[in-house]
Amino acid sequence: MADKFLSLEKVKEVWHTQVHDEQNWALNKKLLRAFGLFVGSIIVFRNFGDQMARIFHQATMMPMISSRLSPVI
Amino acid sequence: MAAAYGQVPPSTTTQMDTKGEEKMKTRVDYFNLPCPIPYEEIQREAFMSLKPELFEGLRFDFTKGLNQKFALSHSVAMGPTELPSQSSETIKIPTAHYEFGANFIDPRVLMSIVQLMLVGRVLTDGRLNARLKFDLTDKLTLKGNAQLTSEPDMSHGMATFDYKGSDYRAQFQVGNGALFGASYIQSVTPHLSLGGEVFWTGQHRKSGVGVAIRYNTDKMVATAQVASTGIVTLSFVQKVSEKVSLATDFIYNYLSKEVTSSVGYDYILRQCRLRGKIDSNGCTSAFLEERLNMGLNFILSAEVDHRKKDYKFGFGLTVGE
Repeated sequence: MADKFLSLEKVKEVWHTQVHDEQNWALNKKLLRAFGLFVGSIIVFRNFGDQMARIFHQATMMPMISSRLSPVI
Repeated sequence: MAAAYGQVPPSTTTQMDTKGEEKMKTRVDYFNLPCPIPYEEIQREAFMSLKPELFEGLRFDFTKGLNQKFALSHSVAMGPTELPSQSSETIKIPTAHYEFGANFIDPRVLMSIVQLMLVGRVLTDGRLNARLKFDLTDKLTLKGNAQLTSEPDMSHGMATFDYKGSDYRAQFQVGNGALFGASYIQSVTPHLSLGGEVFWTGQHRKSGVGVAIRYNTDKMVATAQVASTGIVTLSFVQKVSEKVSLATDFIYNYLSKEVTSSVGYDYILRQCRLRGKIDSNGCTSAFLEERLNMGLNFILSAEVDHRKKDYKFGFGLTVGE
């Protein structure tokens, strides 16, 4: 059978070098964590950004409201 | 009857004109694109939200304007200074310094833009910092900055020429130590701009190239930058409202195998501005600027890194504009 550009053996070889090798996996783990945080943040910002801003605004307004309601304290 | 005489009824003409105008509005005029922002400021929104001027210790800044063009400033800073070390531990030494500064701004009266700006700072350790910005023409600007010290081979200076075209910007830099650099950025669509840079240092015999892409709308800004020095930078800023921005960035150095991602916010209230962020290394930071009165600002800074056991807290006051 003719050699394919992407064969199962090549995939296994890449998997062994990048996951099972301790040095490479340490770097790949940091890379995945950072890239996942970046992409996840973008998804959260685009879908829930308005709600986050509204909650933050309400949280910052609460001390002002409570201080007006109970001036003695 | 009017149609029989070759005259089109007015209602149909109005509908056709409206549709034609709508088509014209949606068509992009590629000969009339907006001028992009400078190449070195391509990530300024993310930079402003995620990288405030964190400090440790005490900081006091006082600026006094003597007239419309000239102002003097006095700054006092007391706190530990971090020294570079090869080990993972952080080495700090306590320092204190006073800085005297002078600012000269000569605005152009007719076009209400700053034509000439001179800024100088002198520190108690003998360092002198100077900056210059001069508009040679409406499109050509000369910038210069220099730092002079008493230590040998530690003084440096750089001159920059910025040219602003209709839909592009070009920059040329020359500095001591045979440092040469150039950058160019072009608007490709009303929202997309592409740019590139190249630099060469004769003293260290090093050179590098970089490319960048920026996509911005009213609600968001996304940038990507790759350089031959080994750094890949991605950033995204969501402008939720005029007062709230959410930002994230990803920085990867494929030569030194270091990677960091940050998530932060920038919230502008009536009397204060609050910025905070957390990164993938577990370091959190916050920066608060509160306006106590006209010309009087209170500053709080905090940076906590549990992994390195490095905790930085600072407070300060700024008086004057």
